Amino acid sequence: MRSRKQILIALAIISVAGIIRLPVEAKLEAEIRGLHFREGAPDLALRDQLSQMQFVAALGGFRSLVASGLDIRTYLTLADKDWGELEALSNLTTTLQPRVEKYWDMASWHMAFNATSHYQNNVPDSEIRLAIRNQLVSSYTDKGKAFLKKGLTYLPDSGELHLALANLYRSKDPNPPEAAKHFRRAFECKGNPPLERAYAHELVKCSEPERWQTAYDILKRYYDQGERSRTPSGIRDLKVLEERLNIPFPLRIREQAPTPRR
Amino acid sequence: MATTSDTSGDALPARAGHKAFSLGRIWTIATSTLTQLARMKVFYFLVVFVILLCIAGFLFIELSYEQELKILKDVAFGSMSLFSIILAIVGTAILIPRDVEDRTLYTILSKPVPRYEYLIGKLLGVLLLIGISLLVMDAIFTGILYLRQNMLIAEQISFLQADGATEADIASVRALVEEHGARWGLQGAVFSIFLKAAVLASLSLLLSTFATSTLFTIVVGFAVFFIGHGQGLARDYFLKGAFTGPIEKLVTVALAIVFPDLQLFSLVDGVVSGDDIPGGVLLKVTGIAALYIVIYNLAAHFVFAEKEL
Amino acid sequence: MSESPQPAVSIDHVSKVFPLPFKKGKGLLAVDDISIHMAPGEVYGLIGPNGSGKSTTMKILLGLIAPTEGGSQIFGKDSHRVDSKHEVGFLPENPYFYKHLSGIETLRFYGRLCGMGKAEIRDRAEELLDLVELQGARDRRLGGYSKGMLQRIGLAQALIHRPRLLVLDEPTAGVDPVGSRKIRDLILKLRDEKITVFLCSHLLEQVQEICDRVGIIFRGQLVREGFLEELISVEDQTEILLRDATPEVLDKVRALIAAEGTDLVSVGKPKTTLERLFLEHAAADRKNN
Repeated sequence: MRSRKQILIALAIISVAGIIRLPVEAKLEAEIRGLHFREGAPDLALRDQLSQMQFVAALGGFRSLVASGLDIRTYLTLADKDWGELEALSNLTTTLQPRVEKYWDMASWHMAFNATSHYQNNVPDSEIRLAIRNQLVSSYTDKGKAFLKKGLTYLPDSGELHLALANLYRSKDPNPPEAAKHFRRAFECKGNPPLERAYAHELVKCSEPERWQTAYDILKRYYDQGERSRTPSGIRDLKVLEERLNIPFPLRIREQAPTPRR
Repeated sequence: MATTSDTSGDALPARAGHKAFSLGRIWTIATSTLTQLARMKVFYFLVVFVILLCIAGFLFIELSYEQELKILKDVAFGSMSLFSIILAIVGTAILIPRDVEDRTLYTILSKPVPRYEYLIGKLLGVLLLIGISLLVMDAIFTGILYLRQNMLIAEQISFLQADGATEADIASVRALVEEHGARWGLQGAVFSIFLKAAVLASLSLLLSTFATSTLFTIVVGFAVFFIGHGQGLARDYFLKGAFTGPIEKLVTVALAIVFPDLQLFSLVDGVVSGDDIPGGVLLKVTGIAALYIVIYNLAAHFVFAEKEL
Repeated sequence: MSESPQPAVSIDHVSKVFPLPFKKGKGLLAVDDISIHMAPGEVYGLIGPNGSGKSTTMKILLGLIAPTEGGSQIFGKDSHRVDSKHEVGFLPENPYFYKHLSGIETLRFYGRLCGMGKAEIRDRAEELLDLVELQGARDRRLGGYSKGMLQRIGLAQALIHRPRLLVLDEPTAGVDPVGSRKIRDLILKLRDEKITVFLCSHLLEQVQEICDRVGIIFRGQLVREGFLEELISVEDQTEILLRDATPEVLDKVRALIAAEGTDLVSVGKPKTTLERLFLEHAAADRKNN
């Protein structure tokens, strides 16, 4: 039949062209992925976590939109203080768009600060035993750190994520070496002088003399730039380091160590 | 009395030679297709689009500026994509059946119009409509995005000034917000949406040349749309060659070769995240889109040239 | 000795079998070895019941359908070639055209498809709108046209590029008597201008009024063909019409007939047609208003 013959010819044209374009397209897709421009088709594993419509939309090229929709839901869930749901939604948004820095940042913030703050301050003693409270605070802090660390595997040069992790190690789960490391990376990425000073301040808290020397070099450099670059914490730590490193008196800064607050 | 012709049955009038290919004929069919589709009230969608953007742009909930601007961009590009995909598949699917139903196809093809020019003209008309619509939506979106971006900058500046920030800090924050707001790189995303729609429209036209009903064309068109977004997986699987059975191999081959890789044209996400589509990539993607359009049109020509009307 | 002019239309031993789905080897024989030749300037009517193959024959001539066997030519050119379409204009059955276009826009559209220039289209469109009496509705969208108006604008688009052959499929089907009369008058005008007209219809009376030659098609076969006068003449009968004949004159005529041994078949009053009656009233109505 003539029309069937024509349809077969059409199919043959498409197939031959298909064979030719396969390697070309594979190369281009590899180039796009190599540039980390976008993710590929959504994993079938996502199918279980998304609703049918969300999965279909993500499959159809609306991945970013689905992620934004989930992000709005995250914000609304925050009001309900449903931390489990919040964690699940954060996992989804970061899985859908692992190269959106803000999603990792907010996920970590919700876990390490909002959730821990809730259990520390908003749940009365009558409702929760101290051991459980402490365990929950520790657990959510760890979840916050985990989000940032995973985010950094996708975005190793994200100053924001390094800064967030540094702050976590500074305030929530004190670990001066780790904090210092991430403040330094944040400074390398963003170039903000306060970040370099924060790096130095963390080095002061460490126990290795070579780190103190590095801290001293940095803080002295800022001090030497003039009045506008001198901060109270910078002066305080310089005085501490001058003692630890036995800096000769003629080379010490003229200020006295600030009186500790009572 | 008005006369119709000065010719007798024997005396041949001087006629301009027949042109085997005429851009004028193609353009005539294209512009009439454009006006035909435009009158189907498709532009009411633009009103819905503006409302959606206003809602998305001015949510006024406690999100960061990056998140706010991202949501606005996602809603805008998502709407543009949805509109252009539906127009590409459905709008194209109805063209030939409508002309057959109205007998217009017979009056056109009984004129000195080759069938391939009819097909090209129809496709060009749809592409014109999609292109113009995207331009209008892009203009509206850019305006709203710019407005929202400036509001957010003003908000950030007022916070900074209250904290005694320097001019350099303010300039830095302005640059950061602008990076997530209106910038020329966003046009690359709009163009990639157009390319995907163009490929789908060509495919839809091909399907309609042999489909038994408009519904068939639309259903298959959308099926190919979804399969096409997963085609890359089939292709990678096929190229790796690790099959466990002959049926698996056959299915993988069929998927990889026959279906288009529409994921290649999904470049919006990267742009929304703040990256611009590299020039080389954009050029190659355009080339591949052109290839698909040529292939589908060629295939459509083969089917339509012999189609009994 | 002069050569006979090239035929306007040559349909030579054309057959068309439409394959039946799922029945390999079997098909529907829509047209069975039809040959038709039309001289330039002739009005040819192809008549037959619904489903007899009239439209299929027409579409084969226009290149819309490919024949299973045989071929067709228009003024010597293979009718399936695109360049032969310069010579032919087609009005299909029950056309709707593009509803969003006005009358003048429709003519411009088709004129551009025929490669005509702007000025040429403008002049020709005005001429045709006058011819088909649609100047008053030139700017109205075709969606608001009546059936008769659609047929007339259809005729105009078929004539836009001054074709030498006009193909009309059921040109008056569904049109009221006034509109129908206009269309028939137009066809006669075209014949006067030596345009060949090929029409098919199942409205036999109308075909009888305008065609020079007629082909009768049944189940895909051309069963009879010839000049109209020859076809419809009842060979062995003669008609004489008398005005104001008295009964005595009639008796004398009867006597003469009997004396010659000829059979008197019938005597009576000739009848007008309902259509003529309708048109007389319509004309009178227009005159009064």
